[in-house]
Amino acid sequence: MAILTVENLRVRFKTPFGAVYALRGIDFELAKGQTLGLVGETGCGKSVTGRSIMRLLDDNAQVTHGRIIFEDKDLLQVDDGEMRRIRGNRIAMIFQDPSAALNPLFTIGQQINDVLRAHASNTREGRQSQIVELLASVGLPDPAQMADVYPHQLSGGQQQRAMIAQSLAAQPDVIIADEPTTALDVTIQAQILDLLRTLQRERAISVILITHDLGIVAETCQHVVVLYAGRVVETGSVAAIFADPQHPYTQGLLAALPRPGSRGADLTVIPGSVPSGLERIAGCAFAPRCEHVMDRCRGHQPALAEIGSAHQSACFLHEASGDG
Amino acid sequence: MADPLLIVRDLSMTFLRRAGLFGRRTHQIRALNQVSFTIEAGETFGIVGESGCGKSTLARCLLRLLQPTGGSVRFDGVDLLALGDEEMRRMRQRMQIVLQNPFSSLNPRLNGFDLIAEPLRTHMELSRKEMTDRVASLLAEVGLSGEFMSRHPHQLSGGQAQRIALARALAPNPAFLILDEPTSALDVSVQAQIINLLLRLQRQRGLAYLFITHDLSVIQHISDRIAVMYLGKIVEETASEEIFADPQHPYTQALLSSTPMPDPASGGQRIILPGTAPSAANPPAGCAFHPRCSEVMEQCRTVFPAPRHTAPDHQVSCHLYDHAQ
Amino acid sequence: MRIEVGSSAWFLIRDRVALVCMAFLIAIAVSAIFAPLLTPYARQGMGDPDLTAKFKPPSIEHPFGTDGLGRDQVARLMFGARRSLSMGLLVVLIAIAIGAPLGMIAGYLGGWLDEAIMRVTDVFLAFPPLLLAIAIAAALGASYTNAVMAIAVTWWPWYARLARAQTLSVRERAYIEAAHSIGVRDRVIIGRHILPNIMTPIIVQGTLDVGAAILVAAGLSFIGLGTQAPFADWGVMISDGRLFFLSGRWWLSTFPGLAIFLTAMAFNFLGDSVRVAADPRLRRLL
Repeated sequence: MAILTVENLRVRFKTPFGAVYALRGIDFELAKGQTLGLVGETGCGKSVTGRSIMRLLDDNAQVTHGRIIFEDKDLLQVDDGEMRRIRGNRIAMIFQDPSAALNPLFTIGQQINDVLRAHASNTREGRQSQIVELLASVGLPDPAQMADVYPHQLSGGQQQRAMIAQSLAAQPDVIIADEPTTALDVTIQAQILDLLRTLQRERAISVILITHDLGIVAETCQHVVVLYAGRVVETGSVAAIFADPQHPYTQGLLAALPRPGSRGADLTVIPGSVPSGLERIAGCAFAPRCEHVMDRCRGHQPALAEIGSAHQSACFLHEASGDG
Repeated sequence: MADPLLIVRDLSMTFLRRAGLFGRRTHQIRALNQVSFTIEAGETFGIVGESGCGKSTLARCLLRLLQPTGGSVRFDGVDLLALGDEEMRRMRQRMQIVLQNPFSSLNPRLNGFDLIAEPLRTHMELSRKEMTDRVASLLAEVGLSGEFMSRHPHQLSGGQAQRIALARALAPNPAFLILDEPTSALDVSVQAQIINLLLRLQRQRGLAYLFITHDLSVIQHISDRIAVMYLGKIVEETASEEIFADPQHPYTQALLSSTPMPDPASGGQRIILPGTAPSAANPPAGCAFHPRCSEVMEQCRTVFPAPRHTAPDHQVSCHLYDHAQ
Repeated sequence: MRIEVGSSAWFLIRDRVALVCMAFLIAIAVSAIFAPLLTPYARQGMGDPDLTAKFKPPSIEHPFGTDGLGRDQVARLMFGARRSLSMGLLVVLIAIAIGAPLGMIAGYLGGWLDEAIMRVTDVFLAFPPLLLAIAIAAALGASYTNAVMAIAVTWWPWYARLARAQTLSVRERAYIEAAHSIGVRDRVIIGRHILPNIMTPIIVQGTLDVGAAILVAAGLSFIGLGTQAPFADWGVMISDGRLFFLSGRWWLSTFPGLAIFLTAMAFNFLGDSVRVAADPRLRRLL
């Protein structure tokens, strides 16, 4: 059952150079209790998608089309007051850089207290014990003392834990984590991903994990949405996508990764680079880099089509093989 | 066999930081602590470690962009630390560095031609025509067309900018390249292009690489030998395949297990290290890794383990292997 | 000239305030440079009296009236602009020429040289700039050149400070380290890598300062320490006219005053626009 559905979401940015088409029709569903990986390279629109759901886009962005359905409500239509209640209360966001997302002037405890006071009716003492509980649940040492600590006194990994504790304070149903471990070291990243897995399992939270790292997706997510140039090119279960990628872009991405035992061999390369978003793309955005490109790819946009159980891909190749 | 191209012995770097009111208290930050290794001509030596382990300080000490506080560096038979500033400046045409983010390591005001021509101007007397020819052939070598001569960094994609940085480093015909996280700022598909390019350049030019990264899957792909650093020390060093097949130091094992692999089926037992790396300003006594180590023993808290050979080409600094050798 | 879309110049041209200011300043500069061709009273502009036309109020023939020696005020203003504008520009250029290299050397090399240069700037900055300029101009003797030198001497420490602060931040950029690693010499690094990357804030500050420098120069001329008779600049004209202001000859001081006011303001607005155009983070506000 889907807790959050994104339908044909289109977003463009006004820039001095003209309109940049960041999202060109995104569709996906987040199932209840699931961890969904939004994966793609720089400029594919994965962060814009997360911010669109939270309605946290910059002023020069414009949602031109689409619906974001959360519990029978279109988040793009609800008024600002209601959106504020949903944001934080029901849907929380974790950012890449916790040091920028935490207010340096307040202690960790004060910042969590603010969330608790806004979202739950509780006494001061009740909140205090809740803060300690939350800090303990994200694995911070000495949670009672941690409440009185300022963000700069924490390491990067601890700051990220504190931010996760803050986002958990309102007991959200959905957490959107935008590259939550990109700024962290590998061993600290492993800690945070482990924490996210545990929280998701124990609290039945649905998570959208935005990342560029296919390894993180493979280890953390159940479902994957692969984005390219503002569109979904392939989506499916982690097992299906990694074992049997169908879209040439997904295949290229996976083949481009260095793996143990491949030493010194040439890696498979996707030629060229991603489109800038400034130009309107008539056909499949990946066509200029695709080795299987056909005539119709340049003029027509392939739609997502079912190619297996819970596995969809947007490529004319599947039709060709299906028909023949 | 010829002498190694680079011999590093007991290289140490200690920063002094002033603290407190009026800087009366000073404390030492031991960024590098008696690091030793050798690199043969034409080989790739990988250094992997997390932030603060000293890997970037090491790169800067080798080029003497920082003046090491102890140890020795012999490059091609020359003791680099004994050279005067002017001799060292000239020596730099034989050893070059490529930094992580090309957009910050390329001067935004210069175009492709001036960027690549700068090392040529610095080290050689060339006519304008010779210079243009050299720049054109360097661009071709890194897979860019001549039109990139007139482009400025902000007009380039990440991959193109890193290719320009590479052409610039190759311009004075170095024998040795230090690559400091050269692909970390790039997307996966572009990273693969740059790795392939680095491998091809090495085959064609017989370059030796010191490849520094935090990414184990990248480093095992490109390196012949790998050293793992933790808090200013090399804790394990061995052939590239061995690091994956037989990681011996508990830190290496944890690092390996923490690296996300793009293979959902591989999800076995993960080693999650507790806590964070201690600060180099206040390192723990004994083995610096002991506060996070699951196999910590009494002696780890007091005695630093000396490097030991567990196999002819496998060296590890850990008391678990004290019986070896 | 080819202007690249998205470049600083491109943003400047799209900024209407900047365009109006530039047009105004160009008009002033053109009328100053080509003054002998643009006015029938060129001789009067350079100081020749016409005692038959003393104190004429503004009319068709003399739009801004005439002064006590019968000289056409439009011509006087145009010739005065030569002095006032050039004083403002020269002061800023000389101050940059002294301050920027010293600031770069101080910031790049550091150590005792940095200390020495910065302590000297401290000494200069300890005095109110106008008082210091008056003192120096008085000591050197009253003339146009000495007034320029006097103001420039009080002004360079600001550029030294600015250049030093910018150098300190640029020095830490990776491309400076990259240049070191290639073996580039220090003086090439300063000239090729540091100078072009610190010029933008200096140009912005310079544009903002020209207006202020024109004001200070007019101030010196007003008290007789700048341009000397029979030549005039705007400060001299205000000074000459002020005695007659209350007796009804308002046009004598008003028009040069307006000229100073508008020119200084135009440089200020232009400087602000240059700052916005040069800084990609501020461009979005356009």
